[in-house]
Amino acid sequence: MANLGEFEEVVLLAVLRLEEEAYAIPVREEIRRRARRRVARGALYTALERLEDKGLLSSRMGEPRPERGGRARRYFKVTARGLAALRASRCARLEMWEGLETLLGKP
Amino acid sequence: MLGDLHEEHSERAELSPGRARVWYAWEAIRLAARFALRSAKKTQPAVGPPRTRGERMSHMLRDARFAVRAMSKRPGFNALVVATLAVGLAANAAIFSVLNGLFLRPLPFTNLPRLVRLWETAPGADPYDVSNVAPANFRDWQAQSAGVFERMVALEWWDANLRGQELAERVQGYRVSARFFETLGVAPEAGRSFLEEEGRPGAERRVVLGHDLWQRSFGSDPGIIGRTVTVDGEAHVVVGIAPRGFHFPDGAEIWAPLVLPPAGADARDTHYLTAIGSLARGRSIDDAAKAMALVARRLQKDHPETNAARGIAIEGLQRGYEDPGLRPILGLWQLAAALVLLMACVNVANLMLARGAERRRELALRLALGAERGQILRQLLTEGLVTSLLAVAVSLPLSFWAARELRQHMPAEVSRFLPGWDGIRMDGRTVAFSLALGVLATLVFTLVPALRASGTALVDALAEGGRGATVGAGRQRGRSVLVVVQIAGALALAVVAGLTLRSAHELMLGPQGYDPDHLLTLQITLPESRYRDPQSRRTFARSAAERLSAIPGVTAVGFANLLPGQPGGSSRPIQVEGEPAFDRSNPPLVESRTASPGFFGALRLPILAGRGLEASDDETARPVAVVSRSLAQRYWPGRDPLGRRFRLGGEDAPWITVVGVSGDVIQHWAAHRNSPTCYRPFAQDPSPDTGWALRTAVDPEAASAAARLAVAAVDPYQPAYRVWSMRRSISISMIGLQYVAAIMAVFGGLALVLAISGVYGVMSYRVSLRTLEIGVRVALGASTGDVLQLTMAQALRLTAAGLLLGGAAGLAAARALSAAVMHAVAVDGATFAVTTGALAVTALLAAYVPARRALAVDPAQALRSQ
Repeated sequence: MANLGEFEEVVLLAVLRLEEEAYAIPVREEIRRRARRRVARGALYTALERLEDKGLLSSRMGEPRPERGGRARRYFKVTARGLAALRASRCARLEMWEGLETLLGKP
Repeated sequence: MLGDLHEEHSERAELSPGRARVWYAWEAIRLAARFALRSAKKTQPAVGPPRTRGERMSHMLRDARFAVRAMSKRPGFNALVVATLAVGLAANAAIFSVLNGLFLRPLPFTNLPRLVRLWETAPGADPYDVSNVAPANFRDWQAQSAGVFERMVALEWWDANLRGQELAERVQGYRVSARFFETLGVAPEAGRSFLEEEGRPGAERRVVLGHDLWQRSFGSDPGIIGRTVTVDGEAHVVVGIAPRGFHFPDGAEIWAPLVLPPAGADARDTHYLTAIGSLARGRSIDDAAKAMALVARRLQKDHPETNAARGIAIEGLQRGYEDPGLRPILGLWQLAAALVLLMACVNVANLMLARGAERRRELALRLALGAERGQILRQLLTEGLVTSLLAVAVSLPLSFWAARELRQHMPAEVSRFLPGWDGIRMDGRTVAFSLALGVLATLVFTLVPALRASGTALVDALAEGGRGATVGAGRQRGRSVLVVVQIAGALALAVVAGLTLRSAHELMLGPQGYDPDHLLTLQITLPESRYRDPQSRRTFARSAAERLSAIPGVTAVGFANLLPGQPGGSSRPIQVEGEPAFDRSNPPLVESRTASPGFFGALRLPILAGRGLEASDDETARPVAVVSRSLAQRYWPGRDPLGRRFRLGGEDAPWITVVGVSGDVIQHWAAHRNSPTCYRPFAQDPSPDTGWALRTAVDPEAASAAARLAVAAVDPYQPAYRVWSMRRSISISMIGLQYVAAIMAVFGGLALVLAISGVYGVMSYRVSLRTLEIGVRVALGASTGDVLQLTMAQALRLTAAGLLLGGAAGLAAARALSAAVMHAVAVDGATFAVTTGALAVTALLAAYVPARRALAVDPAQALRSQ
């Protein structure tokens, strides 16, 4: 299984949180709100595209919408492989954190 | 992706549409740039020659991508290049937008291509005298040219005094033939144009209001149509509103039907109508000229007493309404802008040359691997083109801003009279101009470095490995030429800028010959209809003077037919008693003014000898005049002018006795300073036009409202106009020269910065190539002075050559500019010398700094670094 980059992980988690509403704008907003980081729009599209290429995300087009100039939204969903990758990543992180809580503490 | 952008845009647009638009553009550019870079990273430059057309196309794309990639590797260098070019391009686009507005599309009439202006010509006559048509001649033109013209209309100047809500207002009006608007192809915004029957006596009390006038004086009231307004003391029915921005001709704001005198009673010897024709379909100006030549010949035969040598001239309407002074000025501006761009290109070429030296190894390697010379050349040109396109993109907002600044700084009271000025903006044509110029610039700045780089002897380059104590003489020469060109260009522009600024400053803020501070001025034009009798004009002036003097804070009041600082003039031929009669075809002219007794005191215009004008110099007394010192010196040199006599005009004019001599003033910047002027008592020749000067204790414009009311108290139908301070009056009259000075100053400044950075760049590059040599020299015992002498001698030679060339070019340009602005720009040696000296010092400084830096390097290190 491919290793997840840190940003890819953040994007996957954001898509997972948003459930049915995961298209680019709320994903970016979610990352901004929860991870407190501003993501360049282009970077996000690149990451989404790459994650889909890797088979960790799947997407479907919604209905065309007038407020988007007649264009449809692309909704993303984390695939089974994506979930597995997230789990693996989480396990690895938790292993690395083990025993360091007293030193690093809670923020 | 676009959908997302759109969605966020529509959310933002609800809060602030303007900001949302900027946001959208910015985000779109960022996205595009990101994806362009990403695809560029995937490609490699062309190596083998293309075989098919499709392949060639894909090679070009590949070149472009590679160019983007190569540029993104050196952001600082390329930002500098793009910024330099963008400034040059923006300067050109801004001037072009003025040219475009004033010359290419000044008159927004649908029928413009078919419209012509016609006038009478007479051999040897004053052009002002023949620019118009006598009514009887117009009637014949109209009747005899039906085949070539669909329609011919006439216009007559009309100074309309409009009775507004509280105060009367003077409005520029024109009396026009029926169907005037239709002929131009302009539809009224509301209401209608004039009907055929409204051109007959009795039905002519109709007006069409200008859009601005309607807004200003009638609060954009849509119900105004059909109601009456009072113009020149008489009721007129409003029949229509002209479209916004329509001020034709000459800043008109109100139009009324023109009533020609009945056939037979109309004159052939008073020429006061402007004639405009619209050509019949399929007819050219040449056809019309031929037809009108026939008409002219017929009129010469039928009316030899009035039309003996009269011809008819025809010109396209646009050409016919151009200010003849604008063309040379704008030509010079565009030339100056082109020079700025050329200097920007030279700077970029310099940078590229320096860069080319760095890239020799890369190019040599590619040549060695089998790339053809043409391919390398094409690659470099593509890089240049990408740079230029980026520069065009950066320059567009700059030019947009510059065009807006140019448009908005023109006072509304002036821009109305410049057809097309309000239309100055960035349009498709200006953008296309920028793009074309960008491509042209690419050729200028890349071709030389590219040819040189692709012509690299590859074995040498590889063997040298970028090493080398000095660079070949040929390359040095190329760069020397560039330095000389830059210094010369900068000096030429700086000299012109310096001279123009100095002259404008001197004319505007220097001594005027009187005290222009604390002076309120206002104009009054008494209409012929109510002030035909000279006595009525005297009475009006006397009461107005009394009322205006009574305003609190006003310490003195004076008036003349024309105040200094006002446009226009009234020159008359002068005949001095005891001198031979003047040559009628070329008479000596003096400025003739009529003034009130209080005039000299209110303006603080000094009386140098004799006395000023007095109340006793009235219509019953003998004709007298105060003459300016320059007039006295010209016509009575070395003699006492007091008591001497002269007359204005022919033998039937009365002799006028000189009673005093006054100082000289700047009447108007376009007239020469110290133009000989005589001041006669207003009472002896009461003109309908008067300019008033009120000396105030405090801010003069604070008294404006009171002054308007004082005039209205004398005659409620009589407006005062151009009510503002003398300082403002001078500034407005000089707006043209101020524009010339400001634009030249900007160009001169840009050229200076470009030249200094160019010289600095070349010199420091040159010195850096010689670091090894300098190190060796210092190691062998050369003193600091020796080395400086070595490097500076070269700089000195180049600077001298540049200054020589630039001085000559600057002198020629200054002469041309001065001729274009009525010789108001004085070519003085001091400004010339200061500018040249300043440029020489900065150029040498730009060479000195890098030389000094090279000397500061430890010789041992210099040797080791190679």
